[in-house]
Amino acid sequence: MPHHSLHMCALDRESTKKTKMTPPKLWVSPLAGLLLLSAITAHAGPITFTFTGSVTADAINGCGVVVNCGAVTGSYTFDSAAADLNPSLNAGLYAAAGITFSIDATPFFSSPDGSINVANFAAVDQYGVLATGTASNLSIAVFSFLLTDPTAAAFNSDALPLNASALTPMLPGAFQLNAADDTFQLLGTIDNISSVSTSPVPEPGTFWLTVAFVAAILLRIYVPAPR
Amino acid sequence: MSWFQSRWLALVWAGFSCTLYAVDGVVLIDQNRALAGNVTPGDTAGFPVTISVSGSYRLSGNLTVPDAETTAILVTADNVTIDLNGFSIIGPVVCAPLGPDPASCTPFGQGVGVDARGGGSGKNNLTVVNGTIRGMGANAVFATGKHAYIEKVRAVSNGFTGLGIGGDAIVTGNIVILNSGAGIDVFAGRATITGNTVLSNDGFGIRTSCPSVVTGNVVANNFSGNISTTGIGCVSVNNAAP
Repeated sequence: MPHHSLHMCALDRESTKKTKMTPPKLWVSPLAGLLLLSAITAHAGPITFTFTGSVTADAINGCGVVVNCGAVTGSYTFDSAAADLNPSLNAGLYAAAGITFSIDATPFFSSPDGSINVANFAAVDQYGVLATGTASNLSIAVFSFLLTDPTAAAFNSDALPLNASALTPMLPGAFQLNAADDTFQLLGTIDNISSVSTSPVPEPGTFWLTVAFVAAILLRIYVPAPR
Repeated sequence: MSWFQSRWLALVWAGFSCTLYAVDGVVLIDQNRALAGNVTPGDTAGFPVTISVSGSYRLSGNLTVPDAETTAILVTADNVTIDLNGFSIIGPVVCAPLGPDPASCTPFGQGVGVDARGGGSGKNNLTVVNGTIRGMGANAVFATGKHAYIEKVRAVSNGFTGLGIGGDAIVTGNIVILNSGAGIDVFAGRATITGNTVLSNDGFGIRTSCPSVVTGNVVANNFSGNISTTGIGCVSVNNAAP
């Protein structure tokens, strides 16, 4: 993640200064940096939520013409350390990826990217997923589902929920899948959301930056400077 | 570049390009789209939804604003049509009838359901139809430009005026109840105000400058008076306005 790299660069500059002044303290900064990096990378990682529900209507064609009003399954993935891109204090906006949507176990819509909204309003809490992608009939479509807690008790902040159990009190929710060419407009319910457990994996970029950082420090120690 | 960095860059790019136009050119708006932003260029994440491009927009779900200070839809272009499509714009303000007098509302704020004031003269040719705007801190609709067309809107329980409209407007078939200011307030003349139900507002029920036509409305129990016309040349007939 960007702030990891920035942090490491700051440490690197700091350790360079100290190399010239106090060689015995050389290990303090890199060790602290390594510990910090390992702590951060151990907790950041992709989390996948799956959802189930049902199509209740195709507002354009009626059920059974383009799709059956059948059972919905789907999923989406997000980073546990995703940045909040909405500066508002009571609404969060986070990146999502790999949005899938199937009807009766047949893939119907997918999108590589989307967003997650978390609203912690005074009178209502909301959690939503929005994605623009392609349907199996090649129509461009927007998938949007929204969970609402009218008691505003579900969230204490606009932080991204990392466990699907936090969303359970907001179920059932509603979804819509609207085709840009008006070939379908699916409406339905989201009845369940659950987490898919994944092991936290350090990002490859962070890992290799860490290796390079350590190597650079070791080189400064053991390779004599040319005269 | 990490997995999510690359995807987020793609999302940002997509956000500027993925506003969904239906085949008829209508832009759909729901709560998720409102919170994500990029409905039109310059629309940031969260409320208000900024409509900066002329065209047709349609709600595909309710919009709920966080507080009485927040505007739901901000129109900064002329020639915008907003079809509420049977959905609602919802704020936190609650107005309760207070004995024989009209609304007592709390809290108040500056939030507007559809705000087309646009600074100074306002945006012209705004159309808002077919839905409910309730609980806003100030007006349900605030359109100070010319040639607004407001039809079949329920403006209920808002902290100030129900429908605040500029001149040369048509305001028809609306239900305007329990607002803390006027029900329908047309700031300039040459308005056609017909077939509305305007009850229990804390200001005038219908107030307009002349010349205007005010006809076929049911206007009752409004605190400051039911119908007020200012100037000469108004036609106010066939209203049920005791």
